[in-house]
Amino acid sequence: MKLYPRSDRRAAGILVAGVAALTAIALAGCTSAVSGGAGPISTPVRGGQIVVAQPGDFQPNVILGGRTGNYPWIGNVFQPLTYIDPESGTPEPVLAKDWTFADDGMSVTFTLQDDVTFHTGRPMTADDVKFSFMKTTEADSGSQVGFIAKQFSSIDVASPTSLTVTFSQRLSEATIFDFLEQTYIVDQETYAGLADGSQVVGTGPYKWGTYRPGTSITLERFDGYWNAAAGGQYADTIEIDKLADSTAQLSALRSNGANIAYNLGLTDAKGFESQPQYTTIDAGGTIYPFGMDVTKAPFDNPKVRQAIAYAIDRDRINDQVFAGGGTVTDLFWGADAPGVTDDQVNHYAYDPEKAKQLVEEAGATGAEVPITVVALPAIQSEYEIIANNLTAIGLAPTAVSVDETTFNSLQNQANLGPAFLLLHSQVGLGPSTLISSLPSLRANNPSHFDSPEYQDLRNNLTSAASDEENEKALGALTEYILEQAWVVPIVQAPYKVVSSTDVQGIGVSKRGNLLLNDAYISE
Amino acid sequence: MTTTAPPSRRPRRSGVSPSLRRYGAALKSPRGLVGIIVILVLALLSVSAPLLFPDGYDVQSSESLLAPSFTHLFGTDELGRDIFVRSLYGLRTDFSIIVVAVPVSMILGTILGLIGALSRVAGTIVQRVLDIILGFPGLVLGICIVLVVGPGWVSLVIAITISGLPAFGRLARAALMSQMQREYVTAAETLGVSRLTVLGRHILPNAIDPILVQGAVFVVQAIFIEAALSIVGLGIQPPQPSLGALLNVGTRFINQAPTYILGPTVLLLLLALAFSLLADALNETVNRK
Amino acid sequence: MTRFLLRKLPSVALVIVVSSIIAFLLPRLAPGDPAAALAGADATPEQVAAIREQSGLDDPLIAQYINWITGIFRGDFGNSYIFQRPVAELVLDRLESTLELAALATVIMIVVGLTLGILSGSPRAKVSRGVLDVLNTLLLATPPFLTGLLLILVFGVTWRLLPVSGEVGLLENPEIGIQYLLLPAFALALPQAAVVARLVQTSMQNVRGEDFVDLAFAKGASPRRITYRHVLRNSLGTAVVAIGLRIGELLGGAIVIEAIFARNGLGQLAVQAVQDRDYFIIQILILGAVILAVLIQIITEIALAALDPRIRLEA
Repeated sequence: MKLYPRSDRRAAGILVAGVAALTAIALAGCTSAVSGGAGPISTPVRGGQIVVAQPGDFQPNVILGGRTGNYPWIGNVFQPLTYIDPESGTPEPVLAKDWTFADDGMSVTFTLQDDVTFHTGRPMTADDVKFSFMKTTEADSGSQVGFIAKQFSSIDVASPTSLTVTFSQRLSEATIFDFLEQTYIVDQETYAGLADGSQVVGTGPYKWGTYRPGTSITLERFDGYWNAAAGGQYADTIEIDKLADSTAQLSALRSNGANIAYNLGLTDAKGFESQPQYTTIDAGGTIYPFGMDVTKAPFDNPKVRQAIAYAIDRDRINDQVFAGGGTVTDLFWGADAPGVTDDQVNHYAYDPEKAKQLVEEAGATGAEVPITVVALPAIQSEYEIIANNLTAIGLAPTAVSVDETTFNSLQNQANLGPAFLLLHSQVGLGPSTLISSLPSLRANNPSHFDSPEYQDLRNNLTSAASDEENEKALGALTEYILEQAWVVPIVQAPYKVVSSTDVQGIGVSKRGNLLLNDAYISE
Repeated sequence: MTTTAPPSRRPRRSGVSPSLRRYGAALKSPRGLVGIIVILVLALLSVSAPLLFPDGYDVQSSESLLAPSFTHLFGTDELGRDIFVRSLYGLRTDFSIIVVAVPVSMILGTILGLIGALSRVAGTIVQRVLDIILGFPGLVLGICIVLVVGPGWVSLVIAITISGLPAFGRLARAALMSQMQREYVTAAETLGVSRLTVLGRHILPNAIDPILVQGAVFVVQAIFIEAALSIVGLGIQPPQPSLGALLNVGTRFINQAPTYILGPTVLLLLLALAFSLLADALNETVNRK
Repeated sequence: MTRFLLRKLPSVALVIVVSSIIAFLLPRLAPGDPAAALAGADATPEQVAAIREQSGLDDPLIAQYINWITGIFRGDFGNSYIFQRPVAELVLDRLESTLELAALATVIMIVVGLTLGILSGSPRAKVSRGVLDVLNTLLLATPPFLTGLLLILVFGVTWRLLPVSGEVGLLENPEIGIQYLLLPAFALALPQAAVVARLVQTSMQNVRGEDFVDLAFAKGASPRRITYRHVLRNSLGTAVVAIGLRIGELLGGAIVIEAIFARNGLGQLAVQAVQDRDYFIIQILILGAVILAVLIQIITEIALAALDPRIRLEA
């Protein structure tokens, strides 16, 4: 063996220093990517860029369908005829100046704002409105409210600013305003350009700028905005970044890489609630129900279905899966919906004893319950709690895990198996719309539930002529859904919009679309 | 310095085979010793998990995301379950995957690599196929397999087995190529000894060393694949834990409970490290001959 | 060399054709299709059917495959079902992110790998040798995602020195961009650096045993001179080849690292495309990866032959 004296370390030291220097360049720089900071509140300032970080996919090809990935930008580029005020619940004019419902509830006439122009400079007319309404009836538009337009027997354009929609059957005003809320007015000349996002033309305060599919969208202030005189349009540009991961959104917000985190994970959002330099707004949201196929044992027995409704510990799911940010409810609609009683909201309060007893009465103790679970974190955690709850009442749950696309496919075909955990991002729509737009409740539902009685109750609601009738119909339908329990809502969880206080004036529509016309960066 | 005994030249039949003895020597080196002890301790822990914690890995409570304490060594997870218990059961899951997937991949890969001895064309084709698997972006192959088979233990084992084939196949083929040119193979053939006998008697024993070393290396990769598939949500499905799945969920709570992933990380690291050390030690002894 | 390449050609062509078939079939074997991903969970069967028909998903498989292949020869890689954009455009858009990550990781890998390798390949005291050994084994055994998680815990959560996820392009803002890049690049590079270090170490130890080193020592050359002038110089060949091979691995490892650090690179595109069944994107990424692997293999063989005249190129 040869022995050498220890070698010189200096040269190697230089190499190590190289790595250290690389690190130092970044750390010693004057701008850091990790620093929080709050700005003082001040008067609206014109200029600057607002950056929104959000996890969903941009889908400019589905303007007429409600897609979470579009919610942060769509309301700034496109506008509907009316928005429902999230506070008061009353419709507010946007592109429609005024509207009149016929006394018989069979038609409505809209008067449109004058001087509305698309981003191409072309004036918007009643023909564009008719075009947009008609498009929702086409299957590939993706519209969840297209079934409403299918009940329009005719759309008559009287003048460029006036049109009358006639229905084939009585439609309630609430139904129409739900339809309008989601139906943005598109430009018929450039409609084909929506497919690949090459031409995205609306009437809103901001126009579509640079688009990097799957990565980011930049919106630019539209100088020919019809309602510019009313103020707003403070930011020069709005950038929407896709950050698939909640942790990424969180660090973007903390480092001022983004001013607004849209649909931030509920656990992460909760961390911001206690920090004064951030504001949290609830927007729209998702309904998480547990569904059962009533044609398959043991769920063909309503007692077992009711037992499951009693067995699920909704409060714990809300606390542990949704960080306490959701609303525990037995309903698909809000507790404030007219005609709904408090007793209905909490009809199935957690009662494992009663549940166990019901299962025993039905003779279903020990029954295997395969539950289809989509591989999304919230749903998987939800499953884990529910599996525990069902085991406690004497059932034997197992998970059938599928990835998201497989799940979509199974749900589209109403072929989800005996039991399944669903999620519907439709919070904000009214009951008369939800009964047809929610897969859980629509006629062709994955539970394969249907009955003449259900049909009647649904019809009563959609054709309710007065508030009174509407209240009565909704109360009766709610009672029926609770009693039959083919699908059991667990939690309604809102999208959390967390913004640094540097940004003021953020607006949110009832469905949860971000409205940034009045938003500005305070310096 | 200890003197290494010259490799024994005694005929095979007497007592322990020389190669086994060499592997034994590997375990006596400090690396090998540490490696095997850690592996044994971890294996023991995972085997005895059901005895230590008979209530299983899914005991939920309302106490979510607690920090580590004496009652909960690694803290609790988002559903109030003890992360230490889940980690042990997770370790058990990982072991069950390794124990099946690694040997299967090793044997299949070796067979595929040796096919060249029977037919030159078949050998070349197999090598090209292995090239393709090697060229596939690892995780994408895994995800595709999981999607086709459906997420869970079985698809993980299949994905891991397939991704190990190229390395084993190549090693076996390399050994085959080097031995085929030796005189004794030609001699055996002239004597009328069948190809299969030559393959089993002479070529295989010569290929076994590098393959075993690769086996230990591959365990580390197998753990990596399990965890990587879990990170994209397609690994072991809840409520069953695996170390990868624990890391995946834990990362989501990294801001609320940074200690969540600490325990599983340490276990995973220990496991990978132990097999690396073992591979090192085996490699050293094997090369010393 | 031309002969070598010519003889390689048929098998390379075979590999590419077969992988194109696998790349085409494998994602289609999975349940669900891009129409389901595009239509979303709440869609009705009619909506899905409409999308299927519109995107040509109802055509026979053979026709779809031939369309795809003939398209490639015309320079048309197909359109993404989800984004409705040319696949080539989408891939190019994500390339910057992955290249930046891979480039910085390569630099780190070379610097750390050579440093560690030279340190452990040079003679030194038992204790420091042991420390180096343990360090190297530790790096070698730690998969990139674990290194990533540990780096996140230390630098992102405990000290909050660096952002743990997301990205800013280097071209857009170099100062901020590099901060987003550092952690993922280190996570990606360290395990590979350990491999490089190990190879350099072994090779240096072998070279040190050669006669010319003894000669240099006898001539009274300083240890430092021996290490850098004689031993290292003659060990670099191995290092170069090793580094070349590792770059391929770096690209593969980038997928998981991108997932952990939420970077919108090619890896993320691949993972998302598989999950959305965006067939054309998956196909081209798989095919690209296989071709890249084949190229790297051929280049390595040529490089090895160039470095060592004893090796002759054989097909």
